[in-house]
Amino acid sequence: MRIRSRTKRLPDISRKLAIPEEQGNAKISDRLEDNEAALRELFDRCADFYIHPVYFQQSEPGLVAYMQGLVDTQSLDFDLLEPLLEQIRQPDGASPVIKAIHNASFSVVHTKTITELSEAVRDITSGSIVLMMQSSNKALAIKLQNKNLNRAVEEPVTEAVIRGPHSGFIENLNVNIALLRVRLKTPRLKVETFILGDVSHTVVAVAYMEGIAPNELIEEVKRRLTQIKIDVIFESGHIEEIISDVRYTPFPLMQMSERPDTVAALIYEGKAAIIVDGTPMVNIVPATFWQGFQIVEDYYNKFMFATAFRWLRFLFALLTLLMPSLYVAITTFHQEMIPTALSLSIAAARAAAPFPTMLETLMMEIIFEALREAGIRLPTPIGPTVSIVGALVIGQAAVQAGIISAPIVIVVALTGISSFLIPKVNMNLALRLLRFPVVIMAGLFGLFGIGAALLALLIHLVTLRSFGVPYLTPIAPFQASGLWDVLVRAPWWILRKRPHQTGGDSG
Amino acid sequence: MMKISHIQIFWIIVNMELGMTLLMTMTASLQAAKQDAWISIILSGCLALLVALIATRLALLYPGQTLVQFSQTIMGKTLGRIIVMTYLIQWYTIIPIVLRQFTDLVRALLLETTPQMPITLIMIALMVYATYAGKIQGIGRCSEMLGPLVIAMVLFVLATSLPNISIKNILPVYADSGMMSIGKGMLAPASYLGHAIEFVMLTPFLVNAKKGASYAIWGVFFSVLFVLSSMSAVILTMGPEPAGFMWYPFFEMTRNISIGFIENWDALVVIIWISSVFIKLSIYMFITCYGTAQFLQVKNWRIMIWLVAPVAFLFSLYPTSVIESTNHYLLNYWVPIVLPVNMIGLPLLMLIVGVIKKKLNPS
Amino acid sequence: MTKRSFPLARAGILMLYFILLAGCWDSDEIEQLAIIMGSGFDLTEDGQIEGIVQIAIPAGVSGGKDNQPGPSPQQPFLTISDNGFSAPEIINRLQQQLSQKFFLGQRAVFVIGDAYARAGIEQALDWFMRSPDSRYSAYVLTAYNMKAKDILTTQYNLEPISSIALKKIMKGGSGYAETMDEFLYSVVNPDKPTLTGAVSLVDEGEAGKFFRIDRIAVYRNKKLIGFLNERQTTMFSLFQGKLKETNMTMQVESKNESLPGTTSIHIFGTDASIHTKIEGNKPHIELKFKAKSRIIENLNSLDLSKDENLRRIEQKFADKIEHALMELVQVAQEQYKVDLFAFAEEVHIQHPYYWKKSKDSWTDIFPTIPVNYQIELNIERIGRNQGNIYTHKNQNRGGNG
Repeated sequence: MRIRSRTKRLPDISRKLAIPEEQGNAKISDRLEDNEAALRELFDRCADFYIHPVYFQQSEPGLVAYMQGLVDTQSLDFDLLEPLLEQIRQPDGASPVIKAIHNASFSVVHTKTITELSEAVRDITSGSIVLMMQSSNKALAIKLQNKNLNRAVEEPVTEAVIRGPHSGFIENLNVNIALLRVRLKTPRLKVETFILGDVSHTVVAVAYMEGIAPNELIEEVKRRLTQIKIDVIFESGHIEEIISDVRYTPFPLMQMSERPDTVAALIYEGKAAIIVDGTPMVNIVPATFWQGFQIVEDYYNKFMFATAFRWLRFLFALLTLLMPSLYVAITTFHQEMIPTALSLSIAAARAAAPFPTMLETLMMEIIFEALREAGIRLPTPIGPTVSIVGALVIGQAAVQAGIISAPIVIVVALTGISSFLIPKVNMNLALRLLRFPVVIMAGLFGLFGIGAALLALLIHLVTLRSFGVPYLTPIAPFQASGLWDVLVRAPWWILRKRPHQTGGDSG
Repeated sequence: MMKISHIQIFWIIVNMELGMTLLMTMTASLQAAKQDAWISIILSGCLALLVALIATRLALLYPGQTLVQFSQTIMGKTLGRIIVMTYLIQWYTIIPIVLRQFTDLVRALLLETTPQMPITLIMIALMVYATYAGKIQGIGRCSEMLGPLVIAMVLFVLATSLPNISIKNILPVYADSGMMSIGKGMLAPASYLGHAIEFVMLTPFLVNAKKGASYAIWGVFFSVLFVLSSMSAVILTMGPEPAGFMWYPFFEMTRNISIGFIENWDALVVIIWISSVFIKLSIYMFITCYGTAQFLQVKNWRIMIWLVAPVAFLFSLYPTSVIESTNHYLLNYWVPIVLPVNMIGLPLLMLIVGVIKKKLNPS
Repeated sequence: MTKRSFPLARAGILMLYFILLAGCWDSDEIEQLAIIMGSGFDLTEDGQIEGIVQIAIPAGVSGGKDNQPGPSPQQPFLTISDNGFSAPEIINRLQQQLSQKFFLGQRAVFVIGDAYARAGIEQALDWFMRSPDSRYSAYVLTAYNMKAKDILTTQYNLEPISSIALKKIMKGGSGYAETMDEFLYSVVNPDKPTLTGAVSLVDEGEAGKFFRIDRIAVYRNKKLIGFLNERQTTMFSLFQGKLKETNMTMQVESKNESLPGTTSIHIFGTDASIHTKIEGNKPHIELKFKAKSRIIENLNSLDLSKDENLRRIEQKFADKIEHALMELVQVAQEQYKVDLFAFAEEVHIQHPYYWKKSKDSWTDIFPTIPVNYQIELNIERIGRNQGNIYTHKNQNRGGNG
């Protein structure tokens, strides 16, 4: 596989908010007072910043600095400081305490020695305790994160399954990686981390299977990640938009998942997962169009059901995109296609309709989207109420009042239901958005307009690539072996023979 | 780098041949050969296979070069450029004509009162988008997606027409027409099925030129098969007399389909057929742009799109009626000139000279 | 990236521009259409054409907005007509009366009035062939001894719209069904006769008027020249395969005081073919007709378990069919001089070179062609009783007494 590197540089969207250079480069001084002063100045007006001296027996005084909420203060007191204050007695050399802790005492705790002030600042802000000692130009950063900041591993909301594990990723990178490692217990699962974002200093990890994932892919992912210039990364979506192959597309060029089993399965297939600290949403590359209609449960259910449901999803995805436009095109352009009885019913239902079909359709589709949006944003007790009221008012009263015709309510409702069958949220969004231009084309040119719109969509789809893999693989370019997992979900004994990596550059 | 696979060239050829042949050549063939038009199709299929064979042999002499390049390699600079000129004329004229025929059909069958311009413009926009953004591999992938759809559509039409078939329509065989009429009926389909000649412009983009060549020939065979069955179906369902009077017998046949609630669904068939025309036009667009760029030694061939597209649009407005766009071009230029000269004569000449040259100069 | 998307943006703007400039040229809201369910032509006294259209009123059919079941207060269709010299002219004039646009895409039937048909139907035909609106799946009918208007204004009480009733009758297989495409092809094809079903009205008093399509209208040179009667129509449809099965009754024994002496059979599985041979520069035709049948009524004393009795009945029915066919051929050759069975097509197919010589004089040859008949009728089943219930009873009674 060959990946076309992006010739254009990634856009620089940072606002240069990083710590000024002169401060950032300062070394840690061996005078404790200087360090304290420097830190206090940097963290001026930071109410959650906490710095206080500690006095060990038979040793120079020390200083601990940390951010209050980020650190597990109980562990700090009972597990770290208390034993320290009692045990250490040998004043030896420049920083005996630091050495001692680093070498022996707290092997279970993640510690590291630091020499620069900027490093100390970064560690403090990312939840470490920095311990400094008088007359030592080194400091110790002890990772003692507050566990209360993490929520428990729960069922993912966006990707619920009936059969399959019910654990989902959480907002903590380490936990997320652990969830993957639990499923792929092999050293070949490599996890490489990058710290991105000049302000947020977000840890971004790339997880892949060595030997299965192509090297070019991993190199390209790492290359694109390191090129990112951005201040803050709160969510994987931040970088998704930046490092996608094609930016002007509604289609998801990376697969998003918050299910560890999905991600592990895709990593096992030879893809790379981009895990961002602070969000449960993991991006997996490369992605193809067809992944938007596959769910992990397909592989847990028997292949016959999985294939049937996959086709059901394809069919209703098509309906999501085309149902309103087909209604417009057929009732306003190709009335002869409708069976006679049905055409008379539609004509009767529309007899008093004040708006043209296309306008009515657009209007109702937009209202439907609004209802859906309202339902999502509102708190759970109110959300369903809004939907019910909306459905009642629009479905029943508006028809009776003669503002809209009854068939359009059916069409819109069916379109809405169809869109819920698309399992991947971002694919769902893309198709829902695209149905509006298709409706307009249908209103102008009938079926011909729909055909033209679909052709344009197809051209757009074939030009898309996700990390070098053509988006419509394995249909176009055609790969017979890949079809077993796209058009059908073949039984495992066939599927296992399939090459792991999709893609290629054969056209 | 632009690359297409052998499967893609197969579907490109099928799309190029099938769509327009179904539309444009049936009437001419039916008028000449009556119920024996299917024999004409078989003969024209043989001719088309011959054209494809010559084209692929020729292209494989210099698989890294397009026609524009190897014609000059084989025939020398001046002669080569003259030969290329004849092909450029062919390409620059076929795009507007196909565009026009497509627009005429859409207006006759789908959008009667819609003016010609928006329909043509939509198609041109699609062609430009495909050629510009997708390039040849984009068009290849499109044809890979659309080809099976078109085939499925033809199969659907054939299957649903089965109840309307009457074997008496195709009888008596041969007696009514005779060799001359059948031969005459062969020309129009042959000239459209000979579009495989465009393979000579596509060899450099093939991942595997040799494999691509054999797939191209299979593509021609496949399309001939489908044209043959469609023609037989038209004769069997309607008989040669009414079909010979119609502009678009294939679509008239689809109007007869009536199975359960599937009635009057010919609009859907037309829409799917359009995708085949779209592939044909996009390939021609690409070939013309690429060929012109190579001919004028312009480095960035995509600039040519902004020349070819307006030219195609303007010329497509030129014919004043359906008769002009359909009959005059076909019978006055395509059949008497393109078929014997561009499809058979010149390629054969270049093939012979090229082979001799290679024998004499094995380096 | 910016450079790449620029031309596309330009193309998009261009598209938007002409889309905004243009309208929706061809779009028609479905409620703005006058959905024509049936149409027809009649001839007026002064030689003009009267065009009749039956327009569905959707609210009257499906109960309208209230969706209340049961008969709706509104009538389900209305029929309007106007005179003119050509079809397009009439359409124009009718359109002027209507608030909605003519829409022929759902038309179920086209009825040709008797008088109009006798005067010639060229005008209607040409218009059908050219108009993209006309659909091929509509049925063509000729009104038997009446005007098309009489048919199209009739309220048919089993169906809201009478045109749909006509369509369903023909789709159901009772009545000679000729679709628009078959009709047009038969007109264009010189080897084929032009025929349509003929519809008449039956008055059932209280129940209203009913349609009956039990005749065939015969055309020659695009002019109606006559009808086949019921019996001929049945035989013809059976021979052509348009009628798949039928019942036939005949007198097998002479009637006596207890029994009418008839036998009825149900004919099915028919297979007909026409064979031609050229003898002495003249075609000879042999009509072959094979059918299976079963006895559905036996009101005579014949014991059906005896083979010779069955053979006798078979023979009698075969003779009857032969006579019916002879009658049809006679009608074709002598009365109407129309090639009903498409002998021309058969000669053309089977003897193309003879056909080439003689096709111009076919109208002279046709009435003189000798025709042979070969009828094969098999009685496959005789029902659940061996003989006749009455005769068994009589025998039993006689035995007791």
